[in-house]
Parts: sequence; structure tokens; C-alpha cells
Amino acid sequence: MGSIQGLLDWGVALRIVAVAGYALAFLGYAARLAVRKLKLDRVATGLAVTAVGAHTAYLVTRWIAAGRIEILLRERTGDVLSGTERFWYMVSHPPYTNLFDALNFVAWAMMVCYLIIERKWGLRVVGVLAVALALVAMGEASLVTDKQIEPLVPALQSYWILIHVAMLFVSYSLFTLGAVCALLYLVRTGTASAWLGGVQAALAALLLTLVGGTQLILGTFQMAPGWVHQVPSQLHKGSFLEVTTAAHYIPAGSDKLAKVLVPVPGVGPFLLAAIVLFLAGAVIYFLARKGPEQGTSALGYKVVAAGFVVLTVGLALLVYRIVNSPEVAFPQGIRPAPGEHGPFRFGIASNYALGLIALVWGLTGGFLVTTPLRDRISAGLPDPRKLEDITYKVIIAGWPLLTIGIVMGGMWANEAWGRFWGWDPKETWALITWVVYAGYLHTRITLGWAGKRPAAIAVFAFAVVVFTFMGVNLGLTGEGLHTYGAG
Amino acid sequence: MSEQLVPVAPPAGEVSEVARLPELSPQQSHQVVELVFRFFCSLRLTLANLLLLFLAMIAGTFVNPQNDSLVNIERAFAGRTTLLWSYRTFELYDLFHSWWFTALLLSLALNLIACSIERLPRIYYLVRYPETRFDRVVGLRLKVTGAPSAISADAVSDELRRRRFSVRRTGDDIFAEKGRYSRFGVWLVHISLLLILGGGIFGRLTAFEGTVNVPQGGGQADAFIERRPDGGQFRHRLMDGKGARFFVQCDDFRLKEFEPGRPKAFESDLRLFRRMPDGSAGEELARQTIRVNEPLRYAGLTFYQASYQQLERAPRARISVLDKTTGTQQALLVAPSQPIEAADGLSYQLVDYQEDFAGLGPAVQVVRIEEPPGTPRSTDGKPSAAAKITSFWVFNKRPDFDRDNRPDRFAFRFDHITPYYATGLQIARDPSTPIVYLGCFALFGGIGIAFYTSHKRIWAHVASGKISLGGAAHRNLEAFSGEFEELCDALGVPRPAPRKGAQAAA
Repeated sequence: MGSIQGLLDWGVALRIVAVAGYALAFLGYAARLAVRKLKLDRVATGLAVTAVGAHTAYLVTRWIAAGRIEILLRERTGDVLSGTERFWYMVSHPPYTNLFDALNFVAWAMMVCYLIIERKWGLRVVGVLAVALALVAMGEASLVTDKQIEPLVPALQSYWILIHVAMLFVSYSLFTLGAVCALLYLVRTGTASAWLGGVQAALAALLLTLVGGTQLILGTFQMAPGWVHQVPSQLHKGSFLEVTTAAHYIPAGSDKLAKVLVPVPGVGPFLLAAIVLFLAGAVIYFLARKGPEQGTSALGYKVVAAGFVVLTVGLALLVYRIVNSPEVAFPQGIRPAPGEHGPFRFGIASNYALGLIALVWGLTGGFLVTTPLRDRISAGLPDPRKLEDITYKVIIAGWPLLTIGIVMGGMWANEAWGRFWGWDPKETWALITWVVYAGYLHTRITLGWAGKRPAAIAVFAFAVVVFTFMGVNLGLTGEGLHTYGAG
Repeated sequence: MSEQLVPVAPPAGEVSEVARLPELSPQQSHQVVELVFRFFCSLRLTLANLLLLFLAMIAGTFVNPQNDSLVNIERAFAGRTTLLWSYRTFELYDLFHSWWFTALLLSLALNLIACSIERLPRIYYLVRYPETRFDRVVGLRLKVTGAPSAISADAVSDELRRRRFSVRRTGDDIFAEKGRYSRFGVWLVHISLLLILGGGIFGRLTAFEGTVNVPQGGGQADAFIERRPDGGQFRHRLMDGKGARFFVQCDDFRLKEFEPGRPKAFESDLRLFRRMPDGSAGEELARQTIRVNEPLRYAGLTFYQASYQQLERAPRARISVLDKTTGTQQALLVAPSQPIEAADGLSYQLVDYQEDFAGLGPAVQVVRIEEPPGTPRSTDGKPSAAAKITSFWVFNKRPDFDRDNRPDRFAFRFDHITPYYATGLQIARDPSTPIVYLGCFALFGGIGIAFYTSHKRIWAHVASGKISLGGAAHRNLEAFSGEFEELCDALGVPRPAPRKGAQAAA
């Protein structure tokens, strides 16, 4: 029986193996697309399977370690646990209860689903993007500051967490794969890169703006870089866009924890410039949507590329500032909340903000890299009917899970809080996702739409899924019941 | 021209213009009903509803993120009349319960009802009167025509029956099907969504929830406060279905932590008592320790552990008192100066607490008051002049010190000092729960049928040494094509040629 630390160390090693495996699998999938003569199918799949194996083992170590921590901390504080209770606490803490674990879990679920699709229908071309997205998710996880396993808060101590959350996360990963297939379909059917680039740039600008805070939309942007976990509403004035320390305090006249905000100089202008450039790129692309295909020589492409460079510099500067952060001294008269111990360093106030920025960065980079290769990629894609078919099948596999996941969430809420539905932001956004996919299914099945329109809905719906998964936790939509200290 | 006065009342015997219009013929009436019905059946309405819901819900998560009440909003936006007007008119402070959002949900509900009514007979006819003749079925994707075969129609029927198909024969034509109920899956999904939606609307009209803080150590509450989004408050009395009043008593509240700031559990020991007309306690009705995720349910009301509050009263000590003569031990939670009546004429009081007493850790000072036998009980709580008063310290880190070192009938232990809390209870009543649960389970069943089963049909025509075979599944044709091929093999019929474009290598 290894110690908890031993398990966690094993986990770290297994996670490295998984990430390395995905990276190699990515190269394999990409190489077999780029060079037709290479017989790399089995190699790429083999690497992906190995990586998923290591990833599975990693999640298992994480689960067991979490269970042991739950038991250990209880016994240390004087609880005497029966055999049943020990078993319950052992399984009660699945590996997706904070953002770090959730990202790793979603990446794993998506890869498992992808491998099933590959086995059933071939379609290795989806593998490039699936593995790339898994790498993006795990890379984002690596950036998250709170990686340690904390005991579950009382609200999450329920058997529902085992099924409700897992179902939703698996449905999210299926929808991600559906969006990938739909995107490939759009590329294969010759959708102009002005459309793809324009929508991509507009969504990038929108997500960055949301991360930046509603103040930006209202035109009163405060130029202090960074993000706060809780963006206050109009009624609760506070400073926007500041990086925080990892420390909390209890403000006077309140019984809630607040984060200590410390402005980090220099990053903000880059973020704002990136937003402006993406917006400009979207507009330019939109105006040129009916013109001939221009690829990399299009003005929109250049503007988006410039925005990407600016964002990269800003992101690098931010990460540099955080990594080299000095110890933060508490301002006069503010005491750390009970249970918080120094030294305090800079951290992103919201890991979700960082995750969204990384996602925008990754997607924009992906667009920029693939645009020059468009024709080659398109030529390597299978029959569009097949892509369309698989998009539909993947979504129709995810939709029941989403539905049942949401309904079970309602049943849990009824048990814990006495109401099925409270219009909590996470609940509402899950329902928004559900409505979007209900729209997809009805246009596709009942209205008989086929081709580009449902594919566009499937791609758009992915943005909604991302916002439900991460955007809600930015705090723009209010402090919900689903933001359990995962900030 | 003379001005004519408009008569106040119509002249006697005259009816209004509308009433004078000719009556609609039954056909015309039907047309009106038909138009309305068609409107609510239309898929375009569904899509419009979904789109509007999508936009409204997005707006709903951004417009009042902190769920501030109208009163607060009025204060914050004082002077901005247009903004305030829209907040009031469109009830943006509580968008999800506003009149227009409710109207949207109702429109969706009517849409669902109309579609379900329209669909059911169609599904029924499809299932009840299927096309049984091979040559009349068009568009079959799995099809073998005119393959030479010596197999008899009986043998084909038997083979299909063996594969659990229900078989019908009309002349040379064989029709076999299984999983007919699968056609009702989607319908069931929609009906269950309607149940959930209906339950939600019913709940909105009948359900309520509120909160109350009950101090630990015997605090009581016989009502709770519902806070409405418009800033109003409503006080609900606790009563059962028959209107008999009761109250909730919090015997103890425990905030358990792994370490300060890391909660392990919130627990309240609750008891419910009947409230007598004079306000005193009647019989005990229920008793439970509630935790987050483990509420107490009584008479349609549910008591949830929602929060807690630290009261500005002196903290208390958890101590245990051992009676050396009987060996019984009693755990107590006592406030400073609160008398502990240990035996007749013998009482104790906690009078002081030191975080670190002479380097020995936390300790409480206890005063022992022994009255001479026969002293009447004092009315003001003060000891009589003849009382024998001594004092001693009890140490947290030396649990057996007092027992071993102080000759007395009662020995003390001191566990820890705890603040004085009130448990924050959320009390809710939702009569729609059974409807919604029914909807949920129907939805699970409907989804299971709609997404994971399929209506499979086989047509065969056997005549003059030739067999034609066709198959269809309304879902997951791929899986069924494997089954169909197996059937072809079993009947000795060549498998159908693969469809164009299928299984193209990626």
C-alpha cells in the first residue's frame, strides 16, 4: 500500500506519460495526413491508446488518493469510521471536482469517445483535432494554480456527484467531437475561410471581452490587467480586471470571503489590443465574405494574425509576471481569512479566465496554422456525407446524457436544497446548451435540414458548451451554487 | 347639422354589432380551431420558442447576476427612469419569473401539447396498419430482389419467429416486425418534458421557500420568512396539512471542520413539537440530525441545512461531567455562569476561561457551590450566605487531571470552547414534486426507448423459386444491417450490395 504522496507522485508521472503520448499521437495523426505514403495509422492509434491507458491509470490514482485523503482527514479530526463509511469516502471524491481535475477528466472522456468512434467508423482525420484538443485541455489544466486535492465541501458530499457530473462531462466531450466533425464538414464542403475566420475572430473577441469583464462592453474599461473571480455587478462596485493573490480575506461588514486583488502592470493593453484586432478581423472578413478565396493573403487573416501575436505577448507577460511574482504583503488593516497561510503569491484570480484565454489562443493559433494548408487538409478529408453522418451520431449520443444529467441535477437539487430548478447560472447555461442541441435535432430530424446549416449550429453549440463548462464560473453571471471554490 | 348625443345604453331590444354577425358554420368554426391548432403544431413555432428561450436565458444570466431585489435596484438606479421602467415592466430583477418569460414557457407548453396530440394518431396508424407487402414498400436501403431460392414461405416465417419477430402472412408476402413500441419513444420524451414543465408551472404557483435562523441550545421558531425578489417579505407559520401549528427546536448545531476555514460538515439536531394554543410545547412530532444533503421532511415541509450564523453571545464550553458514584457521564454545552445542577444542593458554574493557563493550554475555571442540607432554593440564583464555595481549574490537555486529583463526587472534563451559533434553516414546500419526479422517470424511460431501441421491419416475398427480402430500422440502421445480413445468411440469400459511399476509408 503506497502512501498518498506515493500515489500522487505516480499520478504526476502517469500524467506526463499521457501528455507525451498524446503529443506523439498528434504527430502521428498529423504525419499520416501530411505524407500519404507513410503507413502510420496503427502507430498513431497505438500511441493514442497507450496515452489513454496512462491517462486512465492517472485518473485512478487521483481518485484513490482523493478517497484516502477524505478518510485520513476525517480520522485525523477524531471521526471513527465504519467499514461502509470508509468505502463511501473512498469512492466519494471522483477526479473531476475542481477545474484541474475536470479538464483532465474531460480530455480523457473525449479521447475515449474518439477511440470508440475511430474503431467504429475509422475517420482517423478527426484524431488530429481530438488529440490536439485533449492537449489543449491538459495544458490548460497545467496552468491552473489550485491542483491539490481538497476534501469535498459539505454540499458536494453526495452520491449524485458520481453520476450527475460524469454524465454531463461525457456529453460535453461528445459535443466537442461533434463540433470537430462539423467543422471538418464545413472545410470539406468548401466553406469560405472568410466565414470560418470571421466567426472564429468574433467568438475570440467575445470570449476575451467576457473574460475582461462587462465594464469593457459598457465602455468604462479600467486598465488594470488581470481578472477577478467575482466580477461585481453594477450594484456592487469594485475594481475590474486585476490579478489577485491566492489569498482571501473577509471584508468589513460581510461574512463572505473575498480575494485580495493586486494589479499587475503591463498586461492589460495587450489584451485590449488583441480584442480590438480580433474584432477588426471579424469585420474585415465579414465584408469580404463574398469575394474570392484569398487564404493567407486576405487582409482579415493578417489582422487576426496580428491579434494573435499581441495576445501571445500579453499571455506570456502575464505568465512571466505570475511565475516571478514577489511575495505579496497584505495591505494595511486587512487580515487573511481563517485557515489561510502565507506566503502569498500572484495567482490568476480565476483559473477559468486563464483557461478561456488559453482556449481562444489555441483555437486562433489552430485557425492560423491550418488556413494555408486548407486545400491539402480538405483533399485528405473523407466523403462529406460521412462527416455529416458522424456529427449527427455523436451529437445524438451526447444529447440523452446531457438531458439525463440535467434532470438528475434537478433531482439532486431537490434533495439538497428543496427545489428542482433555481435558475442558478450553471443550471441555466446547461439548459441553454440543451436548447441549442434540441434546436439542432429538430432542424435536422423534423425539418430535414442537412448540410452546412446544421453543421454551423453544431460548431456554434460548441462555443455554448465551452461557456457552460468554464465561462459561467467567471462570475459574470453571478455567484452560483456551482462555483465551489474552484475559482 | 345638429349634434347627436351618443346614447349611454343601447336601445332596448338591440344587440351589439358583433352579435348581429351571422353564426359561423361548423366548417368555418373548424377552420378557426384548425388554424389555431396548426399554429401551435408548427415546427417553426418550436424553433422560434427555442430561439427566444435561448436569448432570454442568456439575458437572464447577465441582467441581474447578484439576484438583487427590486428595492436595491431602485436605490442603485435612482434617477435613471427608463432603465428603472424597463426593470419594473419586464420584471428584469427576476427575469426567470417574469410575465413574459412565463408566457414563453406557456407557448412552449402549448406547442408540446399540440404536437403530441397531432403525433399520437399518426404513430398509432403507422404501428397499427403497417404496409405488409414487399412490392409496395419504397426506398428500402436493405434489399435483395428476386434471388433464386428453394426456401418455402413457412421456413422463412419460422426463421423470423425464431429471431423474435412477430410475423404476419398475406399470401406470398411475409411481414415481420419487432420493437413497435420504439415508435412511441420520442412521443414519451415530449410528454415527459411537458410533465416536468407543467410541474414547474404548478410549482411556481404553489411552492414556497423561506429561511429562519434558530439559535442552538434549545432555540425555537414557529414561522419562517420568505423573501420575494421584489423586496417584499412574507411570514409563513409552520403548520401541517390540517392547519395544526408546530415549531422547530434546534437542540444543537455543530460546525465540523478539518481545520479552520475548511468545513467538514454542518449538522443540526432538530426536533419538531406541536405548538399548543398558549404557545407551549406539546408532543414531539419528529426528531432528526440534518446535514447538507440530508434534510428533515415533515408534513410536506422540508427543513434543509442551508447556513449558520455566529451569534454575538458569549462562547460556551463543551464539558463532560462524570458522576463517580454512579459512573454515568454527561456531555454538556454550558454558557458562562449558567448553573449546572449536579445534585441536590450541589451546583457548579463556569466562571473563567484562559487560552493558555500557566503554560498548560486552554482551561476553564469552575466554581463549586455546596449549600447546607435543607437550604431553600434561592430565587435570584445567588448562593446563600451559608453556602460553601470553592473553585478549581479544568484543563483541556489533561482530561483525567480533575478526576484523579480533586476529591469530589463529580469530575469535570473540558473539550473545547465553541462560539454560540444559530443554525440557518431553509424551509420549503413544493407540492409539484411528485409530478416533476413522474416526468423525470418518464423522461428516462422515453430516452431509453427513443435513443436505444429501434422499430425493425422485414418484408419478404416468396414465390416460384425466388425470394425477395427487404429490411428497415427507424434508428441505427448500421446495427440492423448486420442483423439483416445474418438473416440473409441463415436463409441462404445473398447479402445486399453495400450502399454507395458507405464505409469509405478515412
